[in-house]
Formats: sequence, C-alpha cells, structure tokens
Amino acid sequence: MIIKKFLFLLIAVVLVSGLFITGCNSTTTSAPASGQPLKVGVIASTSGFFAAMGEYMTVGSQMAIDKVNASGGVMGRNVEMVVRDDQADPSVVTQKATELKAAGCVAIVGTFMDGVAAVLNQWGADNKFIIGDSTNTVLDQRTSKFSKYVFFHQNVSLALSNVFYKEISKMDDVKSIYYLSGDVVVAHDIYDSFWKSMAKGKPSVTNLGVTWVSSQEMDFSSVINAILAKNPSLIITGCGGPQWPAFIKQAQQFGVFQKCKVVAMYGLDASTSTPLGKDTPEGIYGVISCPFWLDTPEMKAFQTDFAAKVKDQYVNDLTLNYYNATLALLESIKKANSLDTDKIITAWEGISINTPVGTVSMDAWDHQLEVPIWWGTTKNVSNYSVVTANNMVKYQQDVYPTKDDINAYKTSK
Amino acid sequence: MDWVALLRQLIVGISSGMITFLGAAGVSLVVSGMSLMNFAQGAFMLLGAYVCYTITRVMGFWWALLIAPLVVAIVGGIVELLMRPLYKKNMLFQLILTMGIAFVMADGIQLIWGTLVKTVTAPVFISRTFSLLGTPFPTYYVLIIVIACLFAIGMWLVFEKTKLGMIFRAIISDREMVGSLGINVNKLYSIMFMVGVWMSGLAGVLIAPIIGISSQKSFGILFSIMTVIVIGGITSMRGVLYAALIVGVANALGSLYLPWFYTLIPGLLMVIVLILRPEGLFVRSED
Repeated sequence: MIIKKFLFLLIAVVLVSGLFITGCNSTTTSAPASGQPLKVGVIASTSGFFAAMGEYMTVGSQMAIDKVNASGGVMGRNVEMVVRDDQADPSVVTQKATELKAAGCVAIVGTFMDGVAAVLNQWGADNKFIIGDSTNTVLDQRTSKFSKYVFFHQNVSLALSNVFYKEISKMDDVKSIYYLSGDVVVAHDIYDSFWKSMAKGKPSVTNLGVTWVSSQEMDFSSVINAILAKNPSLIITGCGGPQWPAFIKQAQQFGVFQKCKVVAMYGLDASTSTPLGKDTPEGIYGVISCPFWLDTPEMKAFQTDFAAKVKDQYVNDLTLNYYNATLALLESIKKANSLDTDKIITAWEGISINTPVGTVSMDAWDHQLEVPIWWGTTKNVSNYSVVTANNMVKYQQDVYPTKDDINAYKTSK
Repeated sequence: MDWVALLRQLIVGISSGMITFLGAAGVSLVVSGMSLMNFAQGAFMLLGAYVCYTITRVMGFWWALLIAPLVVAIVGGIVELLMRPLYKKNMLFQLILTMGIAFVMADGIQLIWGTLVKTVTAPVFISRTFSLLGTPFPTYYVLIIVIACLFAIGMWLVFEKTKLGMIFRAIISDREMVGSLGINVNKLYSIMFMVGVWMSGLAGVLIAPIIGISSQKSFGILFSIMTVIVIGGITSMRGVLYAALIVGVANALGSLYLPWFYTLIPGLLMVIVLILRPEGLFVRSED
C-alpha cells in the first residue's frame, strides 16, 4: 500500500514537473520590483526545421528585458518573458498567440519566417493585439496588409534590394546575373524590385534567370552546375539557415567562387555562417544588420552579454531583431505610461531607441524600424572563429521606403 | 546545345540518384523480406551523417566511411528488437511505429549533437576537381557513383552467390518454408534490417561532406526515398536503382532546362506512376 502511494506520488510529481517543463515554458527574469510582473509574450522557433536558431531569438528578447529590468522595469514593474514555440509552422502560431494573450501578456514579439509571421500579424490585427514583428521582411505587410497593431523590426525587402542595386550597379565587371533562392515571398520581393531598379539604372546587365528551390532543399549540385553552364558574372543567393552550409559546400566543389562573384542575402550573418566556422570562402558579398565584429562599445557589450548566455557563438541579426522589438515595445509602454493598446501604439510610432547598432527610429507610416544595413565582403580574421566582413558600407535612411513610396505601393495594390 | 554542360549535369544527376538508391534499397530489402515499411530510413541516413561528423573530427573521413554505417546498423539492430511484437500485426502499426522511431531519433540526435547545423570536411584529394572535356568537374561526385556502384555489385554478389543471399531470397519468396527448415528467422530478420539501415548509414556518410547536417531533415530525405520506391516498385531493388537514376537525372536535366519547374519533377513522376502503374515501373507481375 505504501509503495503504491509512493509510486502514485512519484508519477504525479513527474507529470506536474513535465507540464511545467514542456507546457508552460515560461522564463522569469527576476522577482518583480513591485506588484505583478509585466508579461511579454515571445514566439520563437525552438523546434522544427529552424530549431538551431530558436535560442538566438529568445536570448535577444531576454537581453532587452534584462536591460529594462536593470534600469527599474516598466511603470515600476519588472518584466517577465513568456515563451512559446511555434516550430516555424503557420498552423501552430495562432494557437500559441492565443495562449500568450490568455496568459496575460501585454504584447507579443515574434516570430520567425515570413509566412509564419504573416499569420501572426493577421491574428494581431483580428484580435487588436500588439505584435512586435521580429523577422518579417515582406513589403505587402507594410502596405496592402498594413495593420496599426503590427510593428516591424527586420529590414524590409525593398531596403535590401536597394542596397543590392546600389552596390551591384557599381561593379563594372558584372555583365550578367543569375538568382538562386528559397521560394519565399521576400526573395520574390527582392528579385522583382532589384530587377526593376536595374532595368532603369543599368539595363546593360543581363538577367540570366532564376531558380526557386524549396526552403528545405539541401541538394543544390544540379542547380549550381546548371547555373555555371550559363556563365554568369554574378550569382545572387537567398539561401539561408541550414541551406547556407549546403550551398557553400556544393558551390566549393564546383569552383563557383573562382568562376564568378557571389552575393549572399544571409551569408554574413553569424546565425547562418556559424556552422561553417572559417570554411566560408572570402570575397562573398552580402548584407548584415548585426555585425558582431563592429568596433563600438555598444556592440562589444552586446556580444559580451550574448556570449554569457550562448557559449562560443556570436550575436546575430535574429538576436538583434528580437532585442530591438522587445526593447521598442517596453520603451513605448514607458513613454505611454499606460498599458492601453492605443496609447502604446501612438507611443511606438516615431519612437527612437538606443540599440547596439546605434540609435534607430520607427517610421510612423509603415511601422518600420530603420535598422542600419551594412554591405560587406566576407573576410576571415584571427580574432573570430567565424567569418566577418570588410569593406563595409553602411546604409540606413537612404534605402528605406519613404512615406510617399509606401503610399504609392498601397495605391498600386 | 552545350554537350559538355549536359554531360556534367548527367553525372551530377546519377550521383544524386545513387545516394537516393542507397537509402531506398534498404527500404526495399526490408519490405521484401520482412513486410515492414521502414519510415525511419531517413532518420537512419541522418544518423549516419551525424556519426560521420563525429568520427571525421576524431579519426578522419575514411574511418567514418567504414565505421559510421556500422554504428547505424547496430542502432538498427536495437530498433528491430523493439519492432518484433508487431511483426504479425497489421502493417499500419509497423508504419506508425517506424514513424514514431523517426521522431524519437530526430530528437535524440538533437539531444546528442545539438540544434546547430554540422558540416563535414572531406579529404583534400577527393575535394579537388578533374578535367572533364576541358572543364573542371568535382571528383567527389564521381566518388559517390563509384562507391555506390561497388556497393550495388557487392549486394548483387551477396544475394546471388552466397548462402546468406540464398536464405534472404528464400525468405522473400516463402518465409514459412524457411522457418520450417529450422532456420532462425528472427535472427535473419535482425540481419536483414541491419543491412537495410547500414545502406542508409552509408548514404548519410557519402552525403555528409556536401550538405549542412540538420536533425530536422529526415522527413525530406524520406520523401526522396519514397518517391523512387513508388516509381521503381516497392519490392524490386533493381527497379529502385533504375527509378533512383531516372529521378536523379530528370531532376538534374530539369534544373538545367526547366529551372522554374524542376522541383516539381520527382513528385510529378511519382503521381503519374501511381495513377498509371501503381505497382511500380519495374515490377513484373511475378515479382
């Protein structure tokens, strides 16, 4: 009898513990300064195809919350992060958002992948619930599908394609370009606007074609060989995440980097380049929002805080985006001095925040945070175990769409 | 037409097809001999790649080529023990169990190796290029074809010329008869399953140096395997070989001539075969 009772208790304890570990998944930063803690919902992809990146996301939000708590919290209350995993799956994300709303979160920061974020943003619009969108880059989210409840912290596709156009059009030896990317909306956005700009500004450059691969494709060999048969002087690739090492490994086999220039949308970012260590070839062009090697006290402090939480890795765009989204939300609540949704929205529109990449502002017309975008060329240096970049050129206000641009896009849609 | 580009693309397609063949041949062998559809084959292939990653770091790639498939076979042997209670049950139970095993293996891999994508560096001399009609071509893709062909010939010799092969063929034809001869069928099942997953382990090792190894990839691999199984015929290893080559080459030529469309080719071929000849293109009625 005693053994039975003991077993029952043991099972009960294990089950309850399991519920806490797997179900709630809540991370409390510290004890509240006064009153109940202010809860911020964070949706990240901590399992599924992009599980490798989930930690970068949650750590970014945690770092922002730690910073705010260290300076007294928000409205006299400490901030607490409540995490949910959407597995980068659009069919899961709304359920997780509903859970976070029910848990009393004031807003949600997230999520990863444009398609999943679009579903979350629609949920925010439908439920009149504030979303700090952390990674969405798609233009129509800022134009035809604009919602006052959603704020964007990843650079918009148009800004990226403007940087590509400005830099590639300077390369006199580039006569022809092939485009290879995962079949995602942002890649189509960039492709369309880049070639629109090229047709106007440098029509002599030939568009050799485009291949859209599945976003989970790992075998690029036949595609790479087919592209080389067309003899391009430059390849633009939108392969990111787990695809990037596969692309690099196979491109090296075929001598791509000796035969033509390569521009990578994500190859400079540590979240993408870390698996390759120093095996990333030098001389690849690309863009980055969070160059961890930046020689500024703010970036060094950001990297130090990050390294304390994620061993042997470097801070990256995902971390910065989650950090910025969380910080912007909390600063907006402070500015509004209220938890009223409309007051927070008004405060968020036009807010400026100090980030590891400098002071950045939120555009009121498209709810876009104007994060700097650096163009650079991959370079291995002894201080770091992953590739960095040199010949850096910084872009910011000059590449983001103006109010008129956004209105024009809205009208054209 | 650029004939050199076409030839290069054919070699890439054959190489890709041979990798899929290694994974699919294991499924075909296990289905033929044990009437068990192993949906965990993709996970075993991935395990091969991860074990290759670890062994390569310690002992080098060639040792990994030898040891990693054996490690996968041993894990397969343990998994086979778990499946024994379901052998006499409906195939649906086995299918669900192997799917569950695939999920458990993916999570187990993540637990051991972490979520970060891993990469394997092949020895320098097989990472070089050679001159193919005046244009450089990567040696590694030819090596894949050579190793897979050696394997196919080896398998054929084992099946046709050895006692073990004879017993395997007997099991495929009439397992009750083999059991009545006093042969330990359970032991043979274990060997057969281990050989089947050893093949996917080998495929995992061969593909490791040219991909980023991610624990979430097993169902993508499984889809490629199932495509050639359906096209070739589920119980015909020869058919699986032909189908793997057809899909590999069709995919490669598609990416050269139909870059907008080529990702649909394997799925489209599978659907057409399922509609017109559901038993597979290369299965004779007596098979």
